[in-house]
Amino acid sequence: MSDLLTDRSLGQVPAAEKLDGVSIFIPNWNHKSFLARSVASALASADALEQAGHPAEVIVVDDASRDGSQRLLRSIASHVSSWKFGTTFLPVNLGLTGVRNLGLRLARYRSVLFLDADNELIPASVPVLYRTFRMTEAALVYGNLIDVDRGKAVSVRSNEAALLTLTIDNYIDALALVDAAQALEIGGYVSDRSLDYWADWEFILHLIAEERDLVFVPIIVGRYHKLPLSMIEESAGRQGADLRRMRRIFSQTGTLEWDRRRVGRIYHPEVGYLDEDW
Amino acid sequence: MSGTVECEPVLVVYPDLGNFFYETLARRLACAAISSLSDHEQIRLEPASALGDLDDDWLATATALVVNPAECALSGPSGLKRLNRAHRRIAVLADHVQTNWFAIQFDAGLQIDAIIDVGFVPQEHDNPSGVPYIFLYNAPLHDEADKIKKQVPGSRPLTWALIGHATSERAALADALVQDLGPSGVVFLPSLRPVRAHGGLLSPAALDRLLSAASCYVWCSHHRWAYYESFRFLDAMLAGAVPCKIEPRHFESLAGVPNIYRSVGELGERLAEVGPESMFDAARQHYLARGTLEEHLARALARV
Repeated sequence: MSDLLTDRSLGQVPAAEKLDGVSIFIPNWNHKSFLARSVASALASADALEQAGHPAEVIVVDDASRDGSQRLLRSIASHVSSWKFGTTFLPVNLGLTGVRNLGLRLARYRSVLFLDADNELIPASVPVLYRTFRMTEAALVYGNLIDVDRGKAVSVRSNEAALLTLTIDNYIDALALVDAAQALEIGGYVSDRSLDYWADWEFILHLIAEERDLVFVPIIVGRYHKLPLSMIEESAGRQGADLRRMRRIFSQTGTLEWDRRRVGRIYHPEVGYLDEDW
Repeated sequence: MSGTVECEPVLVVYPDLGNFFYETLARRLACAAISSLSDHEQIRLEPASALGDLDDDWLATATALVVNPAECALSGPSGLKRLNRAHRRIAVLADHVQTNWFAIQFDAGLQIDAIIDVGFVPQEHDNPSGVPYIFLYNAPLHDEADKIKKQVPGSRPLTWALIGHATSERAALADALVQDLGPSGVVFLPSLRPVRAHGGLLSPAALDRLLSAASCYVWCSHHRWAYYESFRFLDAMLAGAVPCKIEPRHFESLAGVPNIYRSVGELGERLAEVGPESMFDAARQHYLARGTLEEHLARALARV
């Protein structure tokens, strides 16, 4: 695993050399059925960014899928400019956190927009997310996702500013714009594979612990398609021991657990910061 | 304004641990009462947590307007118990009378002599409480009316704004807004909790700034009853945004208030047809033609 993460032949770009712009990064593992949707939304988002004057690329890393995803990705790649759309096929499974860290390194641009292969972006919203990133210099910028269950919008997630209640439960999805330089500076996603189910949550708490800025943009950024066998649905049955472990790391004393104190901010480029207290 | 009314002392009480908008309502009522009543010294505005400081003799002559007694009770039972020494106690409510939020007001420990229902549509015939009912039209204060008159709606960077606590209905509405009106809108749907300072929610000033950047303020009910959320209408008007309610079930019973639509698609058609300026003007004309809160409160208090 460590060899892959440092392999220069994969085209990794050191943090200091990353350019202004957005790399939309899709980790894929056996999500062939959903790739057409997620990749199409990512490519349309890259177009929207470019139309707004921001360079963008889409990268898909396939984590040794067994469902034929590679064949589909090669087919897509043959129809899109290689400058705009890049694929990497891992020979062995690296796991989600490893692939996310690889994404941070492969990105040509400093802002990395993580998009899970079963979800989709709303292209016109992505430039707003990026404008927020540039104006706030936050480590992580995110917006609302609409949960879609069997074609029907049923709920929202990533739907508010980061509060200390995040030590109890996570409501911020991985679909977010991450400053690759800041993320790599703090060690990226946790490398412990036993925390794979909670890696996104752990990453957010780690950013908060490192006093990095998290900014919520009150717009709809994408759609989260609920799948019965998804990792997050599986994680619902695993909360006991893992939750205790997370709390041991981030809220050992328990004194902050029920605190609704805001640690993240709310911002919209057209209005500015929206979280002043009264 | 229709002149001042001779009246006994008025005490307006608001919950200081509950939702902030009840404090806003209490302040508006106190402001309206000051303009409506002959003796300004006789009007007091107090948070529920400060009722222990009131003079007993003064209280015994006062009419207490208690905004949302259930939330006032969050400050402890002793305050409301003290109010039972007042000459009269009027619960000031702003919910549909069939909802649980209305029902729990009568379990807060306050002896309620009458209710004042603040809204746009009278609910007297549906009132299940048996307590005398007085409707108060949620008109603008004189100063609010002036601000609304001066609003210049027009091209704004955000097409729509959807704000409230997260529900499945609102998630579906957000999705429909993105699909039918486009993604250039604002969605703030946090988890349900009291709207007050330091909780990561929008302050009144932040809400106003957000709505001032939006052409339309769109919402749907979070219950199944026929109801018009008059405070959302007011917030929109004060910010120059078109108040737009999506109401597929009770469209007919709320007809008369402008800009109620059966679907987001219907709203989109209207926007394309006449534009937000015309829609705002229709709402403004409707609202300002109905007088001020000062006038309506004077009439309501005369009925107590």
